[in-house]
Amino acid sequence: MMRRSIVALSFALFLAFSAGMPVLADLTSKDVTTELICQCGCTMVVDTCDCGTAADMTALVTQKISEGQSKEQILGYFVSQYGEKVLAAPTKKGFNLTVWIVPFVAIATGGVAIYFILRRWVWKGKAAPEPVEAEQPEPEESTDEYRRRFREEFDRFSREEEK
Amino acid sequence: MIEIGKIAIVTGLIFAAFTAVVNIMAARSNTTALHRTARRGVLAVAGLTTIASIALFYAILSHKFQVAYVYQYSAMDLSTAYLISVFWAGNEGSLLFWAWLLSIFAVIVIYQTRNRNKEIAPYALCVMMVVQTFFMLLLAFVSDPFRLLPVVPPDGNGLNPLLENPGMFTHPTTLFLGYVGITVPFAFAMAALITGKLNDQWIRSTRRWTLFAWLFLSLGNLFGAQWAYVELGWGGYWAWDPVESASFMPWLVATGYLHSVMIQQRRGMLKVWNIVLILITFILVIFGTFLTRSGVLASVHSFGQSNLGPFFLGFMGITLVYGIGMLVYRLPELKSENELDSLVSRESSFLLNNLFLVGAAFAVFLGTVFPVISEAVRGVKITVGPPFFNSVTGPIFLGLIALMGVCPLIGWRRASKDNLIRNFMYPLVLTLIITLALFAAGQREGYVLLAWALCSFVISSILLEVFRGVRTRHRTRIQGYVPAFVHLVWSNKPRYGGYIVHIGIILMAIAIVASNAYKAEATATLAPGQSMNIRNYTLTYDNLSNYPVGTSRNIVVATMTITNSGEELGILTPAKTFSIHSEQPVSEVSIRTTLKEDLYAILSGWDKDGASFKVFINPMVAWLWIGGAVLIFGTIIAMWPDAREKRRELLGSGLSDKSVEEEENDEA
Repeated sequence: MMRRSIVALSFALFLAFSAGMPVLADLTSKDVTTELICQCGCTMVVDTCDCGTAADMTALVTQKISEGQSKEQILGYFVSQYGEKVLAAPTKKGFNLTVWIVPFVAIATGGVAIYFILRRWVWKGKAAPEPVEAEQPEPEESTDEYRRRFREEFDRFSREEEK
Repeated sequence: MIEIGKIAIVTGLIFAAFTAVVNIMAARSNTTALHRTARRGVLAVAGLTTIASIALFYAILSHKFQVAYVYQYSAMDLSTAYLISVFWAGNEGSLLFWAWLLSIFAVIVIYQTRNRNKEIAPYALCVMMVVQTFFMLLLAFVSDPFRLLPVVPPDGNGLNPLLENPGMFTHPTTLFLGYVGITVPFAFAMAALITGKLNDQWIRSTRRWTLFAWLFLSLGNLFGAQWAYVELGWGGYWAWDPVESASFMPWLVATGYLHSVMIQQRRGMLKVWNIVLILITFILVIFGTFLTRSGVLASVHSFGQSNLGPFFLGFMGITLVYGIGMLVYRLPELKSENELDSLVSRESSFLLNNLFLVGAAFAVFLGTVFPVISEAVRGVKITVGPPFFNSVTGPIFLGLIALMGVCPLIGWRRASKDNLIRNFMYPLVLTLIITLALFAAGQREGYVLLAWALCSFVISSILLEVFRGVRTRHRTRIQGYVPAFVHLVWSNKPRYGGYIVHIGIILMAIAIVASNAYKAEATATLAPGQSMNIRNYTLTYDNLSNYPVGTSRNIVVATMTITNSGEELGILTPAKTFSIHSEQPVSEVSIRTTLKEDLYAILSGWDKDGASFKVFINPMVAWLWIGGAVLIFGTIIAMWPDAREKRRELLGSGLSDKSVEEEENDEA
């Protein structure tokens, strides 16, 4: 009963949250202005900046779109005017590529390292005598049976009572 | 009074340096008299910084404009409340605020350690006093809040109008409490290295400090986001500004630390890693303080150019070298009983969580400093802005969310196959149903769908976990479900507090995903009587009014009537404020908040024919703040004093000394 109401509740919750509508369209000025930095000194993205410089840049973008220029052409124009710093994110080529790649390389390396470290620890854990339960005095009944039951109860215990 | 402030800072500096040394002497010789001197030294430093702070408050409140700081950041017409906030509005004052908080925290540490931790406490206090000395040095010689002008100006420059917002009281104060709070666990970690007392004593003694600092770091970030949302007027709450990143990075690493210390406490593992994490967190805190003050990176809300940069860099360098040096020196003793029973266990999922959190912090760090690197390597100025951070951190955060769901389902030590199947089945089935339903409802964007799937997975796995606990209690103790639930949470506060925090984080994640994926935006220039549409809303521009506020400000307010599918909902009043203290007018956005969405209006401009507006629909932003409240609630539960914890620690520590652990009446 409880379970069903929880399910229903979370289901309703998520349905309520998910009234959305995906949008797909031709190149809009927003597609371009979200990738340009306003040059008034505010350091904000043109699309979000409120100042006159941003308005001028947006107008220029709109004009170039109406002339049929592509996003790359328009961004290229702004780079030729202001330098690379006008782009809201570094280009994905040359030296700039490092900033895009290094975080993922670092995480992947860390992941591999953790895998090997963990594997070594598991070996050590298996090589060493069972840390806690082995110190307990052995019961009369068969050790295997005892171990199995211990494991079962321990699992239950650790699931329900542990911190 | 101003002279008294100045004298207090210089004397405080001398006392801080002196107390740092005496603490070491006291620990070495272990004479009661020296211990007493060291403790009194800390009290003296706190007293002196308090006097300096009162002096600065006095100078600000009584408009002593001959003090450069008071002239720079306040004016005659500033209300008393905002006059108080001037204390931390600028460089010098905020450094004094840092130093003041640190000295007060040191006094609390003295109080907490009066009967225990006798071996490491003096060293921890020494580290705190060294940090204190650094800040006092800056205050005395580089960034003097009491510097006098050669003339006495009749009025001040005024506070930046953007700062005249309630956020000025919540954001800087909470962030500073978090920043300075991190210093305490850091100091104890260093003390553990210095003394060689490398068991988890230092972690247990600072558990509440860490939670306290983490809570306030979280709040600092959240209040910052809220402030940006209502004041900067661009429709969003997070812009990946370098300064935002600066306060976000220590939060990420501190979150990793909060999790990994659990493994050390339970299994005696990861000793080196935990010290590394708290060291990185502290250095990132100093880095954040440095970023806002150095002028190295352009930012919306930096404190402007100052000559403090090299000092902070130097301090970070010394801390890093000393910290790593000590760590290497103690490395042989830090060999821990690293043993695992299985690759699939709670322990390994915590390690992955650490990898992602530190990885995210690293990505943010690299993005933040990359403009400097690029200029040094290629000589080309570039910008690393929101598109970069969103696309790089997005997948990492999704991975973290997935782990939040996986973690509670995997037991400590080892998880058997049956175990895993039994635990994962319900949440996975539920997630699948929800995802399919969303797909059927028209949600086609893979990234968004994945985010929803992961969020539902986390919530269902936490609910399942709680439900199982409640059911067991219900059966074994014959309690009703509600009392069983309350008892369950109360009997293991750190654990269930943690789950509540996770739910808070997921609510925020839902808000972030929804507000990005489903937002709408419209701009229009309207003559009075004309209206604009956005989704189901119709906004009709009624009129523009213009009136003075106080003596120095003028406000221009537009009134718009809003209707939703024909039903009238009230008015929105976006405005712009003009201040004689600033060239740029400040947008006062007008927001209509519901649980479903915010209707957010900005007045962009106007002329004799009409006014132009920018209107956003920001779905579910309210859940960001609700999630924040849930996070606070969960953290407080986790921090709440616990009798069981005390017993457990007594057993765990082998009743070494009188260390009954943890002050009951922490600042929690």
